[in-house]
Amino acid sequence: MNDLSYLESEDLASLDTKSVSKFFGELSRSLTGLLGCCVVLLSILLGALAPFITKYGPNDLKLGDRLIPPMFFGGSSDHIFGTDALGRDLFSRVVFGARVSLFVAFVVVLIASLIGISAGLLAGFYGRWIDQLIMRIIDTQLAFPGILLAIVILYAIGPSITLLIVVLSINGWMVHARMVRGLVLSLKTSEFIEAAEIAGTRPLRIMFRHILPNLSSMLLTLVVLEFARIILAEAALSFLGYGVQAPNASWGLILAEGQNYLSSGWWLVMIPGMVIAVTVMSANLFASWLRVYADPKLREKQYGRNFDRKVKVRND
Amino acid sequence: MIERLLEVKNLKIAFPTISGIRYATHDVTINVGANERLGVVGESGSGKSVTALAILGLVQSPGRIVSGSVRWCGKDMLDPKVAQEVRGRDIAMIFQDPMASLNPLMKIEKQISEVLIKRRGFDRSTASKRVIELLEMVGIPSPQERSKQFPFEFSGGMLQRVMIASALASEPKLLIADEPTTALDVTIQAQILELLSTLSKDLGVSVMMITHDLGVVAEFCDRVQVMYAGRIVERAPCIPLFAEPLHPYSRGLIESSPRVDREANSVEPIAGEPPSHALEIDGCPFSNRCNESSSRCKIEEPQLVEVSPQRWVGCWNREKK
Amino acid sequence: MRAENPIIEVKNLSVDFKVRGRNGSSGLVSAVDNVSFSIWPGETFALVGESGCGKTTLGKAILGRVPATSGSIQFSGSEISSASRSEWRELHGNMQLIFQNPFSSLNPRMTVREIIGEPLIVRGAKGESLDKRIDQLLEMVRLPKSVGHRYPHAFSGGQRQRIVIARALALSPKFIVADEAVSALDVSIQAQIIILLQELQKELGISYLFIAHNLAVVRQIADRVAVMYLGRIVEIADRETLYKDPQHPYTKALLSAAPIPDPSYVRPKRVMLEGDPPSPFNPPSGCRFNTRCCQVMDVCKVDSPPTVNNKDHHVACWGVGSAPEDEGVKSLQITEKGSF
Repeated sequence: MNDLSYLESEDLASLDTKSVSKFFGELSRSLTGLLGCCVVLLSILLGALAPFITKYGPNDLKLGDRLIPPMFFGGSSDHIFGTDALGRDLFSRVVFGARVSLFVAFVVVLIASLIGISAGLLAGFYGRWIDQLIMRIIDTQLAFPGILLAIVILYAIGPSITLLIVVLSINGWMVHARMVRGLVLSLKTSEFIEAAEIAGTRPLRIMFRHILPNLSSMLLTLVVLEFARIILAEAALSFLGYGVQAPNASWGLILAEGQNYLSSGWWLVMIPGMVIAVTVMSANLFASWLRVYADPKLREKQYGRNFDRKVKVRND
Repeated sequence: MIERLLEVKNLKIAFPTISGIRYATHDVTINVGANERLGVVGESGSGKSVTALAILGLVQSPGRIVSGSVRWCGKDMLDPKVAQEVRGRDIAMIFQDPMASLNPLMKIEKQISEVLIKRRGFDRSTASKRVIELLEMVGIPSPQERSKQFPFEFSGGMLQRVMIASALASEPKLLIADEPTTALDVTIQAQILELLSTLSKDLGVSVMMITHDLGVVAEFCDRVQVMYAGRIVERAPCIPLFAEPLHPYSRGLIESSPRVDREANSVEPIAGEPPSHALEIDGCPFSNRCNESSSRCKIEEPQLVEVSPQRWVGCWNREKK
Repeated sequence: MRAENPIIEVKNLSVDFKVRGRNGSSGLVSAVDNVSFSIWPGETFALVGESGCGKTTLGKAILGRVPATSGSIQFSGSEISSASRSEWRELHGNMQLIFQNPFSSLNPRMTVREIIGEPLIVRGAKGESLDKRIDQLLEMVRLPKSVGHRYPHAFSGGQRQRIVIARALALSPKFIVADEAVSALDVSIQAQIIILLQELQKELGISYLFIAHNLAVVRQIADRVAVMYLGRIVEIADRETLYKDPQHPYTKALLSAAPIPDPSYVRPKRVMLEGDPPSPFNPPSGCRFNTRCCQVMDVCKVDSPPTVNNKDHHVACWGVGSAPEDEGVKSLQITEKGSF
């Protein structure tokens, strides 16, 4: 009587296609999203392959080759980005600098998100004093300007990459915690959570198996945005002299070293500056696309807008 | 011959989505005359609400009307300028959730007088007086004080009365009501339906009542259109429809509707599910659930035909002999 | 009187909520006020009322989701109103819940099998016995096995509700609270689910507390019916008795207001209730229905009526059964309002 066997034959497969191929399919349809993703991946790749793609080391001094401009601006293909005041190949420094900058950003985001997500889950799910405690800690921390606090700590203890990572992580967990807490608070009252509780699911499993997967898309977007922000933060700190120290290269440090040569070696500022800007912007573009992709309603709206635009173009 | 106010012909509404184009309606023809109460009955996915929005030109982009016509007193409602003129003035609409249709930050008086001032050219003081008259007409006690209140100070039932007042403010000839009582308690529903009934009679306003509740239809409407999967499957005056439903879906709907005066264990469900918009259907959209479906039903889609005076059905098994 | 013991026995149950008023004042809302009833094994007990009457709160209190302020709740003879969280974990093996909204009661990130199996998984079930049980549950709710790997968004409302039911059945409960379980479904699908619930009851001997606002639906499925108004139960009766011989004025008004899908139905004069239900923040004194009752007497405004039990037909109304001391029994006169 209740013939539901049609469910087996219906081709609803399109709604359940492997999420990975769907992801790349959609990504390839968005110019900005694809561009953003590719550029970020490219910088990661270049950083990873740094020793294999550079002719010179990042710290190889060649005092005879000082301040050579980049390739199409009067220089040679020997030094694509030119050299700095000590004859070091800028391309090599940028590429090795990428390793440091991206590594720092990656590790910081990892640590900050782990702390932040856990804190947010606990605060949102349990509420009451745990929530109050965590929120007050966040409020207190946010009361101090982040960069200033970082500078003070780095100055007092002495800058190092490890300390830099620690300081930036301490600075960065709050935004994850706040977002997760907010989402957990709104999800907590969902009926499927109540159903899980009545089924006998313990709080830990509810947090990780029921709540967290429903936050994953939002979290991913935040993580990418934070990645971009940490790159900038590290660059700023290194620029000021509190981050990565010479002779290690990082984008911010290269930028700092170049500021004295604005007239004689403009490329020493422009190139690292542009590299930072382009990477950060690409990460933001990718995050923008990700935000729409992760939310089916936004995707439909976006699709609708594009459809209208295409129709208008056809009609004009 | 009843004078025809609204003529909807072969309306086809499409929604482009990421997963393909969905047709909310396929070929809908509806006519509403003066002083008439038409019921449009259907379950979710039948296309009844979208049809109402399409009549008023309110289908949200990228959804669009791809074919068919909508005429109001001869004027072409598909022309946005015409629709803008008619909408809210000659044709008014009330929705299921009155809270969502009113500005929570504006006093009731201001919202209703907006209609009067902008659409009927009243001045502010005349409008205020008229608002109080209207509130009284819909049965709101102490209308003078209540007109100065905000929507959140009203209960659901009261708010729906305010909506009716607002809709009738512009003296429309047609009121489209989309599930106006679905969110209300049954005792309040009875009050609202009685109010609509009295007012529509007294003011000579036609009502298009869109609902899934057969009880509301039976008590309120003169004529009924039954919708399924974006099509009209049956059209008939109210009493004959319930006495002898022709389309298997109409019959199934009536038999699966519980009634307070009906013995226990007597509802007969309709097997299966309404078609999801994902599928393109060959033949009659109801064929997979119909116990009378033949091979023809699965291949050819039946057209709506008049099998006896005023009785229209779209079913191969009900053809005129 | 029945031979067995009731599976659920509620005595003088009250549930109060602390609320903060608009102007900063705080007060107590009595969402459920001094409610008593019993549910027997294998029966469907319906709880009917309009919005704000407290029926959902009552259902939640019985399942321990909301703390009871006073009174007793007994499950199979044991007191559960003050059970601890670990005790509830055990009790939920026997008492489950079906929700109203099939779209929000399923985790969108879990497959159907994972959803249905959750109550079993968290109690240690795994492997082949788990799979077998999930298959069995899918069959019970008439869903084909192959849908198990799909996600909720692929299903319609009625299908999702079947998944919800399968999940509720996983631990073989003896008692299920169905809170507006069919209210969000289309009529033709509603009937399917009602029949499914009845078949499951016959097969498995489950008792239902069927919470609803639609009296027509309730008549299809219930064995006994309780009518609630503003936190109190005003009438309890066997199904046929309630529908054929309602005693309480509110019950009569509810039945009268229900639209009948039959235009040729000749309705006896309609009992119309005036105005809105009073706010639960400020219930009327005495009988809470007195502000809208067409048979209101002076005593109704002052004292709450006691519940009179006449052959398992309980009514709480001064105008029925017990006569107030200084006035004789008033005959029931129904003020008539026109029907349309």
